[in-house]
Amino acid sequence: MPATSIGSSTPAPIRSPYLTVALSWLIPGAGHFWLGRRGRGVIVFATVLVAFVIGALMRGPLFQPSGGSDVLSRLIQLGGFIADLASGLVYFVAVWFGYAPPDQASHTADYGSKFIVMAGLLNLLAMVDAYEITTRQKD
Amino acid sequence: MLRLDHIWVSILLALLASVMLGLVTKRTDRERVRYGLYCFACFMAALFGIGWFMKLLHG
Repeated sequence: MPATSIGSSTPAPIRSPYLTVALSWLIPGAGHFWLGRRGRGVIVFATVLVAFVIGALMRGPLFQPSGGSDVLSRLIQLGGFIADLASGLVYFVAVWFGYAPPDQASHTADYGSKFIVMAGLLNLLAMVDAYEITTRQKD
Repeated sequence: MLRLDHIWVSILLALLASVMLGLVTKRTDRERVRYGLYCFACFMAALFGIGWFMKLLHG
């Protein structure tokens, strides 16, 4: 087995970087999968999904774009909302199924919220990686 | 509702972040595994280091 066995032993097919990034955002790991990096795609999908599910099981609240009363709170809410949204379809499916726990004072729910944010941020990293593979900056 | 201690939450978070960091930053599988383990070790060092530091501060 070659040293680069998580799907990078062959050159990536020519794809639109924007489409790849959009696909990576919508379905975590799908961009890598489309580029022939199937092993990496599966690991990205599993990692993002596990982080989001742990957060949801902890009943972590989702950030709201219009939440907060002062400027700092609004910035925090907006940043959190963007990070939540970065999970793509996982976020939309959760919202579609009515996932909306109240923002309560509980350390477990607070940890859960951080896990959901982390799922989106990890997917952002994967989106950048997929973009760099498409533009031949890496294998 | 899933309830985890702070330590397990931190370890899980470190584990998931290390997997992704190892995956997207290096070129070969060997480098990825090594970097992932390195990141995880750094997370653990920070976790236990800061934990002990806070314990010493508070007595």
